[in-house]
Amino acid sequence: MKVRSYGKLADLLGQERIVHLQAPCTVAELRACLAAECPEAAQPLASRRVLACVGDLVVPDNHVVAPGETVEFLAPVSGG
Amino acid sequence: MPFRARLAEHAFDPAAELAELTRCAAGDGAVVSFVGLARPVTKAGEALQALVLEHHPRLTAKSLDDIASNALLRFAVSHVRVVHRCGEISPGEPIVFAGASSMHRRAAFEAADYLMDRLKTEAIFWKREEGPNGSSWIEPTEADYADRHRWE
Repeated sequence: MKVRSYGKLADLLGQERIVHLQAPCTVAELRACLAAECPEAAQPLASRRVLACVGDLVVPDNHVVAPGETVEFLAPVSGG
Repeated sequence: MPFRARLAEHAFDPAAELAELTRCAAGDGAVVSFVGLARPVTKAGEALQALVLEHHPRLTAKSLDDIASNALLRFAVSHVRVVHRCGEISPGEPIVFAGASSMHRRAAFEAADYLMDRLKTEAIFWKREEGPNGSSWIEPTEADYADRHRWE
């Protein structure tokens, strides 16, 4: 499954990576899998301020990712 | 156009934005605007070399539109304008322009305040300071999140 990351998460996980997890799976399972692969990202991945997006929509942790979908993880955002 | 939000890849002129908003506001009684500038020092107190605002290819523009259109719906304002920089910003350069016009002043003040509280915490940007000792990510403070919650 393809994962894209932004902000400080991209420093930890890379901008794009393939996770060895078979879809369908939940976003929560994906967060746990990424945290296991990359322990230094475990803390931000557990934060409710790190949003998960599928198809440009923010999705909750119980969202089921379908085969072929890309999940994007957004580190806490800040404009202004 | 009642609201407009623009992602600016290059330096912009806040005075020109205010002039355009003021022209559109003919018939209103008030124009309020805010300009955010890149400070010359980092949070650690060192000389800032650049502020870098990374953005998402689709979600950033959508977030700016969402915030600007919500301000128009929520307050008795006639026009809302947001211009937000992305990319590398030098110390002293404008980062953001937020403005609103209304029949009476209170609505325009409130709309500008609301725009900035939401932009600080919900506009899809990742901000990092480049200083003499490398770069560091800047996230909203608890005070920024509390300011955002005032509008819920």
